[in-house]
This record gives sequence, structure tokens and C-alpha cells, in this order.
Amino acid sequence: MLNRTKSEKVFAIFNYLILSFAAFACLLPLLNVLAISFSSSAAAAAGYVKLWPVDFTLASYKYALGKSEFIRSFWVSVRRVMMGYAVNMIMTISVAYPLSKEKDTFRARNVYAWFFIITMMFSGGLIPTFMTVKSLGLLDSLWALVLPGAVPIFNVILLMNFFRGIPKEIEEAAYIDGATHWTTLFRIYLPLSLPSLATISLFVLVGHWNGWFDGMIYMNRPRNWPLQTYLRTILISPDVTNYQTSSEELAGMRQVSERTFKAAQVFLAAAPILAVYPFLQKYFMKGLVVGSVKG
Amino acid sequence: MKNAIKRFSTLALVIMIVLSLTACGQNGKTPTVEPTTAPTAGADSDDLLAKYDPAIDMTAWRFLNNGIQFAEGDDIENNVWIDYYREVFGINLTYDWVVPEEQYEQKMNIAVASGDLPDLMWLNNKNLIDLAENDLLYDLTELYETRTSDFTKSILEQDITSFNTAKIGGKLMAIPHTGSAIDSLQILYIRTDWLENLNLEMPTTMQELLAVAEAFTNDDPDQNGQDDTYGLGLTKNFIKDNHFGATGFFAGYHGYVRRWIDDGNGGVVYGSIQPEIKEGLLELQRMYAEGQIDPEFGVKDRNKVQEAIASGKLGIMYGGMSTPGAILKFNVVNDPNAKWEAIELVSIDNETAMPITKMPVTRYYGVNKNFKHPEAIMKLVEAGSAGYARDNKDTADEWQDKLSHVDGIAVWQYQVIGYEPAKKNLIAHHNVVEALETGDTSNLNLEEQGYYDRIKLYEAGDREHYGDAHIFGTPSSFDIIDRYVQSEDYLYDKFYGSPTATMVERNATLQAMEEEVFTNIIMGAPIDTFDKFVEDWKNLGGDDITKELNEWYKSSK
Amino acid sequence: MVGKNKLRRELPLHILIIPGVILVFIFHYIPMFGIMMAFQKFVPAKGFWNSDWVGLDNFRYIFNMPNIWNVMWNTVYIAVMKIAANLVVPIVFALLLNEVRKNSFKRTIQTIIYFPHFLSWVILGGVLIDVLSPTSGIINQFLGIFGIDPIYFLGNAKWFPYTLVITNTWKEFGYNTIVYLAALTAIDPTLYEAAVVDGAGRWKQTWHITLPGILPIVTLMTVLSLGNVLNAGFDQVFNLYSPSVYSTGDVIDTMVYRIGMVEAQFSVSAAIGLFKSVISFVLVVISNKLANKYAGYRVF
Repeated sequence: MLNRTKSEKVFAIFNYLILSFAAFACLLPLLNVLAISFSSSAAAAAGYVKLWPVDFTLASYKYALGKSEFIRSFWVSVRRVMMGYAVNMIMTISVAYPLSKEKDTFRARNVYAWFFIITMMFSGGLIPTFMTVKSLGLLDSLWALVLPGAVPIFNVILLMNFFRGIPKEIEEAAYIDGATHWTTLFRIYLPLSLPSLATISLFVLVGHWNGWFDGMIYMNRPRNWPLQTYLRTILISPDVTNYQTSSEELAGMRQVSERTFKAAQVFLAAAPILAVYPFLQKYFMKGLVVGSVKG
Repeated sequence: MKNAIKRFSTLALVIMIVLSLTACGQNGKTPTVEPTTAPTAGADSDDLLAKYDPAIDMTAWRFLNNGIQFAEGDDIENNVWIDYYREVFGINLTYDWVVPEEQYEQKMNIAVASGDLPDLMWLNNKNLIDLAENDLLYDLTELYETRTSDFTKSILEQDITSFNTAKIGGKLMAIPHTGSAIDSLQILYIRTDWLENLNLEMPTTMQELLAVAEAFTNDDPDQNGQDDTYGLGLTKNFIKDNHFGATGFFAGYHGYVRRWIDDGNGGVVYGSIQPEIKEGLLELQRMYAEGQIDPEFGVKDRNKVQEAIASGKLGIMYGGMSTPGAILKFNVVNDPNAKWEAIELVSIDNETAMPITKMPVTRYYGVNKNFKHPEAIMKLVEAGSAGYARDNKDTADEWQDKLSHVDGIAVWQYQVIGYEPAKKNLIAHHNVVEALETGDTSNLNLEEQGYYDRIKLYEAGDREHYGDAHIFGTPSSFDIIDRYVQSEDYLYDKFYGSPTATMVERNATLQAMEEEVFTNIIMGAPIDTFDKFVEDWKNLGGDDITKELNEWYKSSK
Repeated sequence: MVGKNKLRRELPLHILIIPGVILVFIFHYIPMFGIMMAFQKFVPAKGFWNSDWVGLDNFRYIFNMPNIWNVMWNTVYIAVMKIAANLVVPIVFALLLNEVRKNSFKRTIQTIIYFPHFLSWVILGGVLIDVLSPTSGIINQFLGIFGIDPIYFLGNAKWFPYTLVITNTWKEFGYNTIVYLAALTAIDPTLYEAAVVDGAGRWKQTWHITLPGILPIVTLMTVLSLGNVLNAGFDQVFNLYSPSVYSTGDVIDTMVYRIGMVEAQFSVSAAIGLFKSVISFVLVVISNKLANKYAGYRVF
């Protein structure tokens, strides 16, 4: 600490300022949306709400949370995330590990690699994928939300590259000691890859939690909808359905006071992810400054 | 975990099957296996509403209307209408799938493409035509003739042109979900407390309206000492939007933007390329330059422009019959002094300004060709009209009270086949107004009673119900619709039905061009660009579309 | 002998990877029969096996659209700028965070900049109109302090592409920083210790240790993001654009959307999709080769 030069001190001050400014710029719009979610729809509709709620009300939250469908679809989402997380992580690791080997230790490696990479770019489209899922009898099953994306190729490639960064000497020493691939993977690779595993965990969790489109396509019955799919059906102020008509004209009314609901939805939907965030953050932030505090 | 392993082994097996299926090049459509049912009572009975015994099964698909609500324990597969169909008609209705309204088109297309159709399906015009042409739909012509009550027919055929869109090659291939064309006529809304503040009269001509817009902009109508108000509200999508659109404004110049109109010689022409539009654009350009239109209207959607109304910055807008409930309500709730009035469109000359509407059919109820009990559909069609009968209050059975609203929940939305009389809302307005005058509510049906009750709440001081009072009460938007209907001073878009070949190919480009050019003109581009747009429009496919539509128009007469 | 031994050593690797191969085969390769849609006039009611074959008509249709080259240019222009910004800004912020010694500060900042990722463009559309307004927007008021005339960020065709890039970067940079933070943790701390002993300052440490340390991941992200050169981001553009900025803001995906609004056209979308796939595949393959040649790092 003592040997900081003057220029380093100046830099440190600027650094703090820049980072604080960036955080500020990210925080303001969020506070605005949060304030809207706690405001009356008339105040929100008039654009009166800035950073503090106007006519404070919990109506939007009460409306969403007060329904049994909310709890039901929440649990569908929780189950989906748990299953999806388990499958995704197992698949990511079990594909990334062999692919991280060089061609001389795993001769078929390149064939496999391109087999996976091609699917990042080419896709058959929605209809044939739906037909495949349907012919497997997976409609209305949680597996329909888990299996089609079971191997997240982007994450595989990411993890594969992190695996490659692990010094070869450690592995070679283990191999000479008679370690199998199994022990190498579990005793060396995984423990050394906690930061990247935490990163991928976050991507996987966010992906499964935020996914709504597949729920809509593959789940035929509303009782099987995950939370994000369900939320798309209730973003509407409760009083407008009083008008008993389905004419296009009145249908337009139904979009009216959705603003406060939409705002509340952001927080209802993001809350679980934000709750697990610190636990994952711990891993990819760990040990960042090891080199500098000494000396 | 055991389950997972089982799943995986099943998967492995199924891969083989899928592979062999794909390899064989079969069409993936599994033939619909129909349960062999013994002839059932009800099928051949002359009684339209006879109950099936034993009950029959029927599958369907549908979307969930926006904002649909269920009582605790109910859902779309388990509710009063499902019970009703089962108990009264002996029909066990189940849904193959349901989706939120916004995703309906997509899911329907996927379902149609993947090939197994339910017995009863909600369809759009395009899929109706395609399925009918591929012989997948049941021809309902005869059933409709013989098995529909006169009352139901009278409702479905109130607007015969729109009913006929369900006919393909002269055959009735679906029951149309008819709605109301008059409900979407344009209405002009003026903030009257501002008129009073400035000692202005309610405008009756376009010239007067323009003067009011200027005064609303420059003369501080809200008397807050700040120059913070605008004359006319427009959205970035003013060509197509209903609230804050310009259709009503152009109609004041007898121009009809994005509509097909009579050319005076028995043919049709495209409204947006007519000289009247140029005139209207020129006026909007002037208003924009003079600050009467929000300088940022070009990026604002309806929610954003609505802010200006709700916060008291805007005093004139074109809208529709629902505007008081959808838009103005927020202004009235925020500002106890705010007053609005709906008026008919104003004209630039002695000719009346005519609002324009279009064919209201948005969906169709089609029946699978392989369905064993197509006549069962007609019972559901009958059930759909029962709520509109006015004379059956005494004869109504135990069900009638439960099928519309229960504890404030709009359960009528659960019905699988519903449609509306073209003048339903207008009639509701008449009845509600009459009941408000006389205090006699005996003639009101349940829906109308709801409006009546909420208007009473509004009169007692609850401004949240401003919309009910100014849509269905009086003075209200329906007063204006009523006047349009009485005087027959309104037009139809001459084109309905599915887009022609060139429209499919070119319309996206042409419409984008139209939006861009019109917006730029308002924001100050030279007015000559309009003439160039007309040329471009014609050359880039507009002429072909006009030709195709005229052929269609002559054949459809 | 050696061969057999090698096979035995390789066998577990095959076993590990096979389940993933099977799943990808089922859910990605089997549905690829849908690509034939691009060469058909696909009608849902007819299905894949009865729709008419039209050869390259769908591609001809797309490339004969009157404004296709303008739209194509807009797409590439916006996408390339986004790719660049989404690489540079997160790396810079990861490095800046790396320099912060106070752990609580670092964590707080990192958490906050990650928030905007959770706001959808629908919501942000409304917020941004206010923030970027030329008359009352906070950004223009701030710029006014420096005597800069108000800029109509969302409504001026000249500015619109940059507005897209800046707002997108703002929304995603925190999320994208995470990958680089993870990469930073993998750098061997003893390297820094050795550098300090050699008398290297912070700047030298960053240049000689930190940057080379995360170079593989940077290369990886660059190569992968090049596949997005025809993806300008539908959600964002759709929610922010307006007729007055069509000339610079209309991109392939919004155009396809509007085509579909007139009437759902599966084949046209499929053809566009296939075209985009081929382009991004070629770019990814080439950039992978180049990365190998010049950076000495093979991504795949």
C-alpha cells in the first residue's frame, strides 16, 4: 500500500469516479421503474412518477401475488430451473471436458467440436422443433423446457476454453500417478474452475428463469405454464374486463394501465435471480486483487 | 432420478421412431383416430338444443383473452361454461391447447403445420382459406341452414357482408365471430374546460378546430402561466392508430388514409395517395411548425402521448368510442376540473366529414372434417346467442345468471363460441340511458346492468368509473356513434378479405414508405415529396395491387 | 500396442460426450429438415410434405425488395458497432473493477451495473423517450452545460444508429463483464508477485500479465460475436424505432416482422434465417482460422 505512486493515486480516484458514475447511470432508470410499480396507474399514466412513488399503492403486487396461479406457475418455474440447471451443468461439463483435450489425446475431438458448433448457427426453426418435441411425447412435460436446450453450446465453448487454461503440468502429473479421466475431472478441473462454473451457473439460471417462449409453445395447459409465460396473461388492469365485448375497439382498452403492472413484473420476476446473485458473485469476484495487496 | 433414466431410455427408443418416420418421408400427420361411438340421442333429434346421451367428447383450441380472470379453483378447462356444455348439451369440451392472446397466431400456425387439428378450432382468415382449400374443414352450409334458430341467424347476419367472409366458394366453411363495425368509427374529443377558460365555442368546422388548436397551444388554456400545452395529439403511428390517430383529421379533408375507397366509377382506389391527403398533411405540417403538435410525436407511442393527456398538456385528440375509458379517464382522475366532450368529425367545407370503418370479423370457428358430430357445433352456436335474448328473463333457466358475470368476474369470456350483434354496444347505450332517465332497470340485461351500476357509482363521485359514464351514459361517445348511424354518414373500407398476391409481396415496403414520407412531411420535408411518394407507390407495386383489388371488388359484388 | 492403449484412454471421453451428442442430434439436427421451408412456399395447412417447391424464389424475393440493400447496410452497420462496443466496454470495466481494492465497493458496483440486463426493451422504450428527450431529457440538459445543442437521439435518423449502440451497451455491459471477471480470477497470482519484485508498476502489470491472461477469453468472445454480424437486435430496434428513422434504423429482422404482419410468411423468414446462418457460419470459421494464425489461439 505504501509504495503507490502519485499517478496511481490519481488513477485510483478517477477509477472510483468512473465506476460510481456508471453505477449511477444504471441505477436511475431502475429506481424509476421501481417507483412506477408502487404508484397509482393514473399517476404513472401521466408520467408524474420520477424516482419516488406517487400515490403509493401495492395494488400491482397484490393483484399479481394474490392469485393462486401465480404461486402455481412460480413452482413450475422453480422446478424447471432446478431440473434445467442440473441437466445443463452436467451436459456442459461432460461435453466441455472431452472437447478441451487436444487432438493428440482425443482424436475425434474436432469432429465433435464442429458437430456442436454448427448448431449455434443453423437451426431448423420453430415448427420442426415443435414437431420433434411433440412426437417424443414431451408436450406438457417439464422435459420439453429442459431437453431441447440441454446442451448450451455457448456455455460449453466457454467452459472448454476455461478448462484449457488449466496448466497442463497438473494434469500430466496426475496421469503419471495413474489418475483416470474421472478423477482428473473431479479432483483437478472442477475445483480449479469454480469462477467459470459460477459464471455459467448464472447464465443457465437466468436463461431458465427468464424463458417464457418455450413455455408458451410446449405447454398446452395453463397449469403447466412457468411464471414468465403466465405473467404475460395478467399484465392488465383488472377493471377493464368489465366491458363485455371482444370488439377490437374495446380490446384496445385492455392495454391501458398495464404500465404499473409491467413495472411490478420486472421486480417480481427478477427477485429470485437477484437473491441468488451474491452467492455466485462470491466465486467470480474472488481473489481479484491477490497480486496487488502484497508488496 | 429413476424417472429420469426411464425418460432417457424412452427417448432413445423414440429417436429410432422419429428417424424412421423422417426417413420414410411421411407427412407427419397422424390420422385422427376417432372413437367409435354408438349413435347417440340428440344427433338426429329435431330439437336444436337436445342433450347428447351418452355425452360426446369434443376437442378445441383457443386463446385466453387479455385480462381474463378466474375465480379461485377455476381455470379454462374447469369453469361454468364447461359445466354448462356438459350438463345441458352432453358435450365434454376439452382443449388441446390454449395460449395468451398475443401468441395465438404463432401457436395456431404451428399447430396447423404440425397437422393434427381438434374438432373445433379458432382460425384467422388466412388459415380458414388454406384449410378449406385443402379440404380439412367441414362444410357447415347445410347444418347452418337447418339447425340454427332464426334468432341466432338474425344476430350472425346483422352485418351480412362480414358474415359472408366465412363463405369460400359459396360454402359456409366456418361460423364467423362477428363483431361491430360501427364501434370503431372515429370521434373527435375536445377539452371543454379549456374552451371555457378561453371563452371559445365548441368548433363545428375544421377552420374553427384549427383556431381552437392554435388557442390551446398559445393562449395558456390551463392558466398556469406556462407555455406547456399542445393543440393536437398524434402518435408516431398516426396512420394506423385509433387513439391519437390522424384518420379522423384526414376525413375532415375527405381523405382516407390507408383505406380503399370508391373511385366514383364502380372501382376502388387507395386513399393514401389522393390529393385530399396532401392537403391534410400540409395543414399538419403547419401545425407542427407552429408548435401545436408535440415536436417529439414522431417517437412516441400511445402510452407516451397519453401522458400528455393525463398530465393536462393536451386538449384535442381523435379517438374512438372507448377513448373516455382508455385515455381521458386518467386526466379526469388526476385533475378534478378536467372536462371532455365527444363530437362528430368536423369538415373543411360544406360536405360532411365521414368517419370510416372496416369489416369487423377477426376470427372464425371452423370444424374438423373428421369430427363425428359436426351438428354438435350448432348447439354451441345457439348457446352463444342465448345471452342476447331480451324476452327470456322469465323463462331463463338456472344457468342464465351464471354465464355472464359472477362476483365481478367476466365469465362470458370462457365460452368457446361467442359472437356479437353488430349493434350490441349501441343498444346497450340506448337501454342504459333510458334506465338512467326512468330509474327502471327491468329492461336491462346483465351486462347493461353492470354499466348502469358503475355509472351510478360515478354519479356518486367515484371518478374511476368515468369511462362507463362517458361511453355508455350520456353525454358520451355512443351519442356520437348513434348520430353517425342515424344519419348513415360513415364509410366502409371497401377492401376486406385476405391480402392479394402483390399485397403480400409489397405491402410491408409500401406501408413503411408511406409512414416515413408522411411523418417527414409533417416534420417539415417539402410537400413535393408527397407527389414523389405517389409515383413510387404506383411503380413499386401499388398499381398492381389496385388492379388486383378492382378485380376482386367486381367479383365480390 | 500404443494404439490400443490410446483407445482405452479415449474411451471415457467418448462416453462422456455421447449423451450430449444424442440430445443435440435429436433436438437440433432432426428439426433441420425444416430448412427446406426456405425453398418452398410453405403453407401451414399443407405442411412440409405438401407445400409447393419454389426453388430459390424466396431468396429472389428478398433480394428484389426495393430497399433491401439499405436495410442490409443498416443491419451490418449497427451490428458491427454493437459487437465492438460489447467487447471493449465490458473488458475495460472488468479491468477497472480489477483495480479497485475495496471489496465491498467492487461488489456493489458490479451488482448494480448488472441490473439493467433485467429490464426489457418494452419497459426501457418508455424510460428512454424521457431520458433522451431533446426538450426535457436529462442527457440533453447535461450536454447543454457544455454548450451542446439538444440532440434528438431517437427521432433523428443520423443519430439513431448510435443511440441504439449506446443504449444497448449500457444495458448489457454489466452482464457481459462477468465473463471477463471470471477470466481474471484464473490468472496466477504469483505472476503479479514476481512482477512487483521486478519493480513493475500497475500499468506494466496490466499490460504484461492481466491482458495476456484474459486474451484467450477475449479472442473467444470476439470470434463468437462475429456470428452476430447480421443480428442488430430485434427487440431493441422494434421498441425504439419510428417512421422518421426507418432510413437508418430499419434492419433485416424488423423488415421481416413487418412482412409477416401483412401475412405470416414462413418461407421468407426461413430463407432470411438460412442466409444469416450461412453468413455467420462463414465468418465464425474464418475468424477462428485468423485467431489461430495471428493470436496463436484456437477457439474451438
